Amino acid sequence: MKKIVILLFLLSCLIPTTLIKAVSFGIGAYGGTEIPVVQDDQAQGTTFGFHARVKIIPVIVLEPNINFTNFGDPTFAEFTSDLQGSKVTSYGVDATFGAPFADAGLNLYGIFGAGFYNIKRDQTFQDETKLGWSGGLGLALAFTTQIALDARSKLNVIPSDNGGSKKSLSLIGGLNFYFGK
Amino acid sequence: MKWILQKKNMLILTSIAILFTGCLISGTFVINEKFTLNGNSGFYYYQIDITGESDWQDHKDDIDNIDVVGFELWFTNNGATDVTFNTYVDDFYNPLCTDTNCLNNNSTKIKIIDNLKLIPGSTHITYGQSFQYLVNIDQLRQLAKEGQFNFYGVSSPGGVNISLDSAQVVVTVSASGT
Repeated sequence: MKKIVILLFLLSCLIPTTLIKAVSFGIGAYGGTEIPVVQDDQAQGTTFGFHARVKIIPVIVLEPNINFTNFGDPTFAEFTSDLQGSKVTSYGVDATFGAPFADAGLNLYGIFGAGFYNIKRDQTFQDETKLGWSGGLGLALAFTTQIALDARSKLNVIPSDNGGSKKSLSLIGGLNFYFGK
Repeated sequence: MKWILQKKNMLILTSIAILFTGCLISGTFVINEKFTLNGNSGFYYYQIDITGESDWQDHKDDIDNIDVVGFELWFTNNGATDVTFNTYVDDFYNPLCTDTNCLNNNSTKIKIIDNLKLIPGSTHITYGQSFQYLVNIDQLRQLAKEGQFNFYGVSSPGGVNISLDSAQVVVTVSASGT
């Protein structure tokens, strides 16, 4: 499944310009920090990813995306702190609401998405994939109709087997490039 | 539909979606307890009980998963030859064994450390290192969900004097409220 999503993402970058102009298409890359929310066994880490942006209707944009997160190693006062942070690879689709597609100026928008989250910690032999969701807010500052700075705050929620969930906050910034409108 | 598509209302709906779920009060907590084994001459035992720890008390009714169980162990092998150390756990409410014969006849014990080699002198197994020695992890996690279990150590050859100078059990718990 992961390979298929990566392949689709790469193929989407090869879509002919004429078709792109017809469907309103963009791509983006971003990076930032990942903050665990009430997770004693993780520390703040880094995240980066890539997405495509496809306009569905004027105020809804779909974003197939792939993200790579490395949590930091947690520290404990009572015993030797040599537990490694987890690595999370996620792929899915976000929808952004509220901001026009590739409009110049400053635009605030909402984000809601779902995807598969693979959580891996070699040290404890953890390797599991869960369906999770995310939501948040973003701010886009477009210099032209082709390029925009993008800043986002997004809560990721990965449900656990018997209830509850693992949560983290992504604070990311990036660049989006638009090929059609 | 038109109301939903208005920019301001979309932001409100998204914010509500973020807060919706109720699972925002769930979390992952790491609980540890120091202990020292009783016994000598190759057989050691202790009843581990983390139910008195504050994090356990706070979340005991809402535990969803035991994510990880690990140990930190400091041994001293006072002999001149290597010693093999095996560790077993058992249900807290089964009779506590205080000798090897009892443990050998215990049909519900679960081996969790298999043939750990202790060289003469000191050995320190850190929390992070302990995972590579642990076996039957799922059964250990199941026992740890009760917050209490019996812990046994058996060294071989039994005549060699070893001491478990200090030990800690570390349990990572996921819990959620309603």
